[in-house]
Amino acid sequence: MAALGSRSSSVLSCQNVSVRFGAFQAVNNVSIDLAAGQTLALIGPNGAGKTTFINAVSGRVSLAAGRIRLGDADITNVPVHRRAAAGLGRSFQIINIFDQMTVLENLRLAAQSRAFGWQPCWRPVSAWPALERRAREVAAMVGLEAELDLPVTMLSHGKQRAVELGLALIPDPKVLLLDEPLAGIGHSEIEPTMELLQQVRKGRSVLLVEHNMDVVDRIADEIVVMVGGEVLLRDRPSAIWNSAEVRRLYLGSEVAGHA
Amino acid sequence: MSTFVIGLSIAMLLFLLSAGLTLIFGMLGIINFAHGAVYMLGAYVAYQVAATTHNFWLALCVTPLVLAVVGAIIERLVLRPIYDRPHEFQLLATFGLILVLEEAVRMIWGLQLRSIATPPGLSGSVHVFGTDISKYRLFVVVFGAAMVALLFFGIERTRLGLILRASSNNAGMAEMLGVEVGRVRTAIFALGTALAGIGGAIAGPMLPIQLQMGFSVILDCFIVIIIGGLGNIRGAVAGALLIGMTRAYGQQYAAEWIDIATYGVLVVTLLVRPQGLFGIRLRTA
Amino acid sequence: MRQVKHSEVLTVGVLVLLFAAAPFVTGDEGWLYLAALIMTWSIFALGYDISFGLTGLLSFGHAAFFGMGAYAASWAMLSAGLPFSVGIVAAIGAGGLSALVFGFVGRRVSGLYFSLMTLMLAELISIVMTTRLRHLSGGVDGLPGVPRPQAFGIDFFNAANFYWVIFALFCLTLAFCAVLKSSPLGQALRGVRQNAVRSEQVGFNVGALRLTALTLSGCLSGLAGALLASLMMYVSPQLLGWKMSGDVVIMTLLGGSGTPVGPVIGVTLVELLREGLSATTEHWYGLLGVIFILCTIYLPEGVAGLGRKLWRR
Repeated sequence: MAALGSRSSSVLSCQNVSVRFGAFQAVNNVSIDLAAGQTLALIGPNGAGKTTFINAVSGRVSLAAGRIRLGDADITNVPVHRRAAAGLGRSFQIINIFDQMTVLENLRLAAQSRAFGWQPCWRPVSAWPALERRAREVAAMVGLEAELDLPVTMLSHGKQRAVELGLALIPDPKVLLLDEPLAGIGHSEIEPTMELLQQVRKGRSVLLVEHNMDVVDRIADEIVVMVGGEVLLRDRPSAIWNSAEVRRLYLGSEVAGHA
Repeated sequence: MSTFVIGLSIAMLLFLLSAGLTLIFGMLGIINFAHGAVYMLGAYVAYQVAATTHNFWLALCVTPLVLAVVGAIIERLVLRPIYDRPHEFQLLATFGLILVLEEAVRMIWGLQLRSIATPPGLSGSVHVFGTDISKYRLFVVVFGAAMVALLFFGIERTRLGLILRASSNNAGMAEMLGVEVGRVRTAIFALGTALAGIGGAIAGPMLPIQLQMGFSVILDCFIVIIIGGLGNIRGAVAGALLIGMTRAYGQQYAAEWIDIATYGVLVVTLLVRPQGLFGIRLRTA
Repeated sequence: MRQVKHSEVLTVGVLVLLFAAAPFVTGDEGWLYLAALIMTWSIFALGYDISFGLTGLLSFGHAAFFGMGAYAASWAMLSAGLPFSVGIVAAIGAGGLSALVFGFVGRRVSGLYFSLMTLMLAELISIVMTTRLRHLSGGVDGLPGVPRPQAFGIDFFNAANFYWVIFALFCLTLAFCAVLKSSPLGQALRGVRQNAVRSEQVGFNVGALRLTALTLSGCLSGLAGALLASLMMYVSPQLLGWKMSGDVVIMTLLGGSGTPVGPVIGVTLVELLREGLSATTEHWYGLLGVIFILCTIYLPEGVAGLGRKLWRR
C-alpha cells in the first residue's frame, strides 16, 4: 500500500501531522492520503486521536508539525471557514446544529455562507429563492422533507443527525469528514442512516470515524487503524479483520466476532 | 524602598479582593460585579465596629463574620435561582446588588467620608534601609502574605479544599458522592465576601471610606484576574503584584499616567495572551 | 410562530403611534423631553441589541461608543462649526470606529473575557478623556452649548420641533434593525450567536461577522450619543462612564433582547420607573436595584417575553 502515499490524484493529503496539547502528544506523525471518490474509515480505541486528527484536518486545532493539502492547495495554515469554502465539509460527533432554528433555517443558513454578498443586503433571506431551493434539495437527500418547518429541538436524535449531515452536505463538498455519524442513533435508525451514508459518499471522498464495525465494513474502501496517536496499519477491510495485530487490539470486541 | 512597600500593600489588598472574585468565578462560574460594593460595605462595617469599641483588631475579626453572613444571604436569595442561566443574568443580578448595597450604606452611614484610626502600635513609621516606612503598611504586607499562604494551604491541602474543587469540577458527580453542592456554593460565596470584608477592614486605616471606593478598586481587580487568568489563584497573586507595583511606582514617578499605564498593561496582555498570563484556555466561551 | 411575528409588528406600530401622538396630546415640555429621552435611549438600546441580542456579544463598554459619538458631534458642531447633519454623520462614524477598535483588540477573546475587556477599554477611554484630554472634553465639567439643527427656518430649540427630529431617527433605527434582522447578514449573525463552531464550519468568517456586528452596533450607539448631547445641549465625560454601559445592558435585558420591541419597552420602563420612583422616595436607587434582581430571577425573557407568553395564551 506504499504506492498510495504519494499519489498525486489524492484529494486530501496529510503528511507527518502531529498535534500536541501541552505535554500530551495526541496525534503523532500521521500521514494519510485520501484518493478521489474513496471512503476511508478511521478506527481505533478511544483516545487513539481519531477525532483530534479530524479536528486538525478541518482546522479546529493547530498542528505541531506536518502539512495538509486539499487538492492542489496547501491548507495547513488556512482558517476553518476558508477550508470549508474550499470544499471541506464535516459533521461532528456531538450534534452541532443551530439549535434555535427550524430545519429549513438551518440548511438555508448553511447555503447562504457560500452565496454571501451577491444579493442586495436589505432583502430578507426568505426572498432568496436559490437558497431555499438548495436547502430543500439537501433536505430531500437526507430525508427531512416532512420536518422542514419544525424547530430542530423537536426532532428525534436520528433526525438531528440528518440535519447535522445536511449542514455538511449543503455546499456539496469534495471531501467530507464524518466524525461518528451513528453516535447515539437508535437501533431502528441505523439501517436508514447506513443507506444515507452510502448515498452521500457517492462522487466524493469521505474520511469516516466510526465505532460500528459492521457499518465500517460495508461502507469503507479502506481502513486506517490508529492507536496512541499513530497509524498502526492501513489496508482493505478484509485484510484488516484478518490482521493478528488488530485482533489483539480489539480482542473480545466486534472485530473478533467478525472474522 | 517605601514605594516598594506601598506597592506590596496595594498588591495585598488587591489580592484579597481578587482572590474572592476569582474563587467565586472559578467555583461558581459567576462574575460578581457587586464584589466592590461588598468590599465597601466591609469597610463601613469595620468603621462602625472600630468607632463603637475603639478596637481595630476586634473590627478586623468581626467584619469578615458579618460579611460572610451577608454573602450567604445574597447567595441564597439572589444567586441560587440563576446558576443555570447565561452569564448576562448573573451580571445583571449582581449589578442590581450594587445598587441595593450602595443604597443600604447611604441609608445607614450617609454620604460623609469616614475613616478608621490606625491601631495604636502601628501608627508612625519605622526606619529601614535609610527610608521611613509606615508601620501599618508593613503590617498589611505581612498580614496579606499570611492570607496568601493560608488560602493556598486551605485550597490545595485540606479536605475542605478537595470538596470545593470537586464541586466546581463536576457538581453532579460531587452530589452523588454525598457532597451537598448547595451548601458548598453558599460557603464559597460567603468565603469570597468574607475576604472582601477583610479587605475593607484593612483598607480602612489606609484609605478614606466612601461610597465610590468599591468601584475603582473592582476595576483594578478585574484587571488582576484577566491578567492572572479567570479562576486562577496563583495568577491572581502575580496579577496583584504587577498592578500594585504599577500603581505605587506610577504614583511616585508619573502620577498622571498611572491609570493609563495600568490599562495599557491590560490591553497588551489581551493582545498577546488572551487567556491571561497564567491561564490555560479553559473557559473562554 | 406567525402569531408572534404579528404581535411584534403590532406592538412596534402601537409604540410608534404613541410617540407620534405625544406632541399632540401634551404641550408640556417636561413630558416631551422625557419622551424624546426615551426614544434617544431606545436608539442606543436597539444598537446595543445588535451586538448582544443578535450576535451574542455581551459588551460592557458601549458607553465608549455612545460617548464618543456625543463628543464627535459636539466637536464637529462647536469647534468646527459644521451643520447638525454632519455632526450626526461624525457621531455615527466615531461610534463605529471605536467599536471597530474594541473588536480588534478583543478579536481573540470571547464570552466573559470579552465583557470584561470591553468594560476595561471603555474605562480607559473615559479616564483618558477626563484627565488627559481635558481641553477637548471639558474635563468633569463637560462642554455646554451643544447646538441643535438649524434648517428651513425652523426653531429646533423649541422642544416640539426637535422632538420630530429624534422621532424620525428613532423610526429609521427601528426600520434598520428590522431589516437587518431578516437580512442575510442578520441571519448569519444569528447563526454566530447560536453556534459559532458550526457557523465557522459551514464557511462563515465568524471573526469578521462579530466585528461587523459590533461596528454596526457602535454606529447606532454613536448616533444615540449625539442626539442625547443635542437634546441636553450639553456633553460630559459622564456619558463615557460605566454606568451608561450598565444602564443600556439593564434596559435591553429588562425589556427582552433579540426583538425590536424589547429594548424599547425596557428603556421606557426604566425611564418611567426612574421618574416615578425618584418622585416618591429618596431611596429609589436601591429600589431600582431590587426590581432588577427580581426581574432577573422571575422574568428571564424580559417584559417582551412575558408579553409573548400572555399573547400565546
